[in-house]
Amino acid sequence: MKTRMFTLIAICFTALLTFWIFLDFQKKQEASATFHAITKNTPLSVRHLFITPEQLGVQAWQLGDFAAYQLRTNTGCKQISFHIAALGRKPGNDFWLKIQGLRQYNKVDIDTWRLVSVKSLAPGSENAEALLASGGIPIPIQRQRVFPHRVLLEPLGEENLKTAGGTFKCQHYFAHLQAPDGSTLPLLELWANPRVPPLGIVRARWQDEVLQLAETQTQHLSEIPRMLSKTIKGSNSQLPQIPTPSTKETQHQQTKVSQGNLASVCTQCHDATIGGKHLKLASLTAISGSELDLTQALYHTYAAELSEPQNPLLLQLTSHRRERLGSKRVRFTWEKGSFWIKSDTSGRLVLSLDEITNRGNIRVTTGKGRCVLNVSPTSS
Amino acid sequence: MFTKLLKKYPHLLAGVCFLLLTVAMPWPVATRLNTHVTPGQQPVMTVPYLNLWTLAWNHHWLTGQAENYWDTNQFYPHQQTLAYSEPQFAMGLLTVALTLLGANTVLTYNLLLLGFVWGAGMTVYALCWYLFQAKALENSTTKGTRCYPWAASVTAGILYGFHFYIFAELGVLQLLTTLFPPLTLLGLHRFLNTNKWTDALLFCSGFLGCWYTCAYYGLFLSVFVCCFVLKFGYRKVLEMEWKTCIRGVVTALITLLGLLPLIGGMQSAKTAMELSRPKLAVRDLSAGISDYLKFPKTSWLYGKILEIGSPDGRIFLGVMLVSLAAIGTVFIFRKSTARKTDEAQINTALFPKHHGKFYLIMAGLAFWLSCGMAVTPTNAAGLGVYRIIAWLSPYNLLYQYVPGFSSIRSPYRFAIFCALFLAVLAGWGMLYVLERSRPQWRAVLMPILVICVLFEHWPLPARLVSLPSSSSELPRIYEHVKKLPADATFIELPLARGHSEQQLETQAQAIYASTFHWRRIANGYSGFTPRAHLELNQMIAESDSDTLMSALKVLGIQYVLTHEEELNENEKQKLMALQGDGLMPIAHEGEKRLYQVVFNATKPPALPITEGLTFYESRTSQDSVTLCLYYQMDVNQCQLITPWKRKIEYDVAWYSRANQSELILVSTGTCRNSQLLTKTSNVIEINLPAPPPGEYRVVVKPRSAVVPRTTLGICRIHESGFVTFESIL
Repeated sequence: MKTRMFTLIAICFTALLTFWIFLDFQKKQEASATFHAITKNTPLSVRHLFITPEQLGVQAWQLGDFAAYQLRTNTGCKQISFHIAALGRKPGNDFWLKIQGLRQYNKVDIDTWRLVSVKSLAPGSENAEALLASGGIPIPIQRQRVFPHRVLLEPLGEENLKTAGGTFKCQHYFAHLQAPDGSTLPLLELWANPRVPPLGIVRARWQDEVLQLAETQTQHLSEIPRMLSKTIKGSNSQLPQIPTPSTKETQHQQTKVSQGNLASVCTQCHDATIGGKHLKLASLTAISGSELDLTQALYHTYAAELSEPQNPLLLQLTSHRRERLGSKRVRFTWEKGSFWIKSDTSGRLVLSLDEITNRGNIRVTTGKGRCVLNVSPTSS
Repeated sequence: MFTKLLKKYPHLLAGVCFLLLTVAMPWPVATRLNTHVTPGQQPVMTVPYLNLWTLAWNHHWLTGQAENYWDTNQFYPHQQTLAYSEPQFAMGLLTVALTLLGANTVLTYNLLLLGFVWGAGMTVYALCWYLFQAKALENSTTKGTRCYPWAASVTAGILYGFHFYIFAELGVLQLLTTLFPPLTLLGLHRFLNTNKWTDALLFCSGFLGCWYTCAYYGLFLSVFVCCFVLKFGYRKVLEMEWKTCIRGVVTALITLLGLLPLIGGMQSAKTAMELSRPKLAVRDLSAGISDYLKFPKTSWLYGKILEIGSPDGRIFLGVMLVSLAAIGTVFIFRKSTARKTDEAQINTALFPKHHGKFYLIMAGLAFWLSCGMAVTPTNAAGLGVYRIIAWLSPYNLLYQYVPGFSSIRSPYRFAIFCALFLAVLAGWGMLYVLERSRPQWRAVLMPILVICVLFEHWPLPARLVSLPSSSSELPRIYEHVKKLPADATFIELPLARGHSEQQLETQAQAIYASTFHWRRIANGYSGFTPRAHLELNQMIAESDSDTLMSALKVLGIQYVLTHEEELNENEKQKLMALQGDGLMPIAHEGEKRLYQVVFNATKPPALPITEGLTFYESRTSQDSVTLCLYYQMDVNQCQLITPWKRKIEYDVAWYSRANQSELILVSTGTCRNSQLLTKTSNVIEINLPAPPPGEYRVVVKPRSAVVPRTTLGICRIHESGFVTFESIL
């Protein structure tokens, strides 16, 4: 009896220990995978975000802090700017950082708005994030997993660096990324000055990519797009107003954008014949439900010039668990009629819509159950 | 009647059964053999077009119409382009006679497809028949004893030869060549038992056939052949059966010699073009455990009746296969408690258990290997004590240390080997069930089991796509292409506008159309795409018309064929701008136009000089550094770099900074892959072995320049992995 009890306890203990080791291994493997993804494949334009301004001596941000950089690679050059555009939810603590030039879709610039603090700019550390193309609907970004790795700075000395934005006395660093097991891999080479807000970076280099300061300001004026104004609470009173807003998005009377929840009354940017009673704000990227309205998503896709009406429209059908719904039938209905269409084996639908159909209050119904429809405008 | 027929012609009967299934299961492939091709589960025809082109190229070369086997007519001016995907030489060899008799490529393709499906069933049947030692039962007095091994062997043949995987991959011809692995195993078993040269020849033909039809399977099969030799071959050494050992070594040498042309061609292309697959790409195409649990969409039962099929369910092993294999496994490990009947005695004696255990272990190994890099971590760094798991991951070890594995990206294809080993066990299991059941039930149970297997595996009708099988069915513009000089080079526009299979279909169509004229084309579709081809694609979309013209000239393209209905406005405008200024229209049929590229310069432009160089951190490993060369390019100028023409090779001498005469290392680097240099993309990167961290004086010297221009500099390689460089003027 005693032997059996002992055996049973030993088995239970071994099983628990194995399970604990497995969980620990899973955790370490995930952390290791993100570590390798960052150190191997991430471009400098994202890599430098892992360094916190606070680490470089930038203690606080002020509204209007602005810095523009030239990003040079072996295949081209582009400008990226960082701008403290509005106060956040906790004034003095977090701010809306507007990043221009980082993302493009079909050659259309898409601005990134991130609610962040000087303590961290790393992907996943923001409290809110949205993408906005001029004329388009803001696309809220699902919050990513928080970046778990530390950045270690190895000081190399002081250097005077001449850039297009002026000459700066910089601290030269090698930045290393630390893995969960304590090992490190190089992240980037850095020249920093705390008087260059909001990032504190004058120059950064990794392999063939160089990010160099082109311009810096502390009272940069910028308008807050009305489409984001409700999200960026209180920001309008804190910023100097630009008197003549003329872009299409300012015609929206009221828009509320929050993470994962979009609702709008979009009454003046387009007339009631577009959308009609079905007019609902839908995300540009995903519409969920058993009856889906494409009208506004399409309208703003074209308004933002992310696609043109004559281009085929690529739709991806997925379940709520993001599994592709291959060979699923959905019904497209518009003012002049309707048709059934079946997705291909990978859940894709490609449609070419004429002008009438494009403006015809297109609705998509699933025969059975709910689905998520991802609208991705194709290039020509 | 059946028993009589079975006793007299068992193999013929099995062959007829498999033939009927081959016609019926992939229905309606057999009905339109010379006009239609099935894309299987693929949404588009890219892969069938590529395989048709490969088959046609093999015929083209075998009939003496092409000089160099590896230098095909696609991706001009790149060389060894056949090695960018499977060369499938054996398929051409098997069907060249048909071509000489007048059969078109579509017909030979479809006959091969059906032949492979039939052959897979038959070879597993033959393997099982041999393993179950059914021949020994011939003298048995018990009625019907020969019928059961026959039924078990046929069932195993159906479970493997008509597996879900086959119908999911029906559009990928080389993946249907599943007949060779069982043939190889049969050859090995027979050779170890009989020690005859004919059996060694059977092994050679199976093994080489596997490599020369699908190098993927050949590589995978080599793992199991090595395991087989380790498991069974050592006994021969221990028992000092030197005759067998010597014959085995001779067979192995002959096999290796047979493989040399294939490996040599593939390896030289791999070295020149860096055809390695990154670990992340391999990880994406590794089978997860859940993939084995996804029901196949192509199955009538799961896809249509139960409606639980998934498009990713290609490696579902099947309920019947797993159940019967489980019974077979139980039989392997059970103690000798068989009833003392004649049959039980016979069967227990006839099943060598060590064979069963081997097949079980191999099924487990195949399953593990099919998981590739999906289950275990791909990188050891950052894992702490768990790094041992990454080191010991079998696929990771194969990827790192066995040549060939780093060039392939789909470990999930090991699943068919898992199905093979399980099918043998399943045959065993069926035999066990029949043996243990009551005699009056056996006659009923046998057909029920076969029907259940067929019901589970029966696929949905295959989708057929009609395609031109003769040049008269092609658009009329190709008549003008056929009239061009035999060494003419041209490009069909538009090129692919993306990397998806749908977007690449036009390129695959272009290479298939080229089989009717065999002119060299810059278009291409393969498992690997050269960098210069991608850059040309980008250039057509983004560059101005002058730069595009410059690119066409450096690529040596003499003619341009445009499908105007598929061109976008941007492309039309560029071509309009070039008309009369570089492009001269020579023919048009509807919206398809053929232009001639007007060459002014007779001598190809020389390689521009470098305006600078630097060193920085390598993208591949911490033991190497990247030498980056900046070339002086003019606006609208374009230059092509390939490993064959304008080869760029550098020697870098690393001297100690402290003692400048002390040479630490001389590293040599070559520019791999092809590249188009332009004003905005004027950089060439070369990966070089690096010395240990420290400060060095480096001397960089080009190898092949007429007037070598040496560059000096100080390079610091930091312990932390950073690399900095200062040039000394």
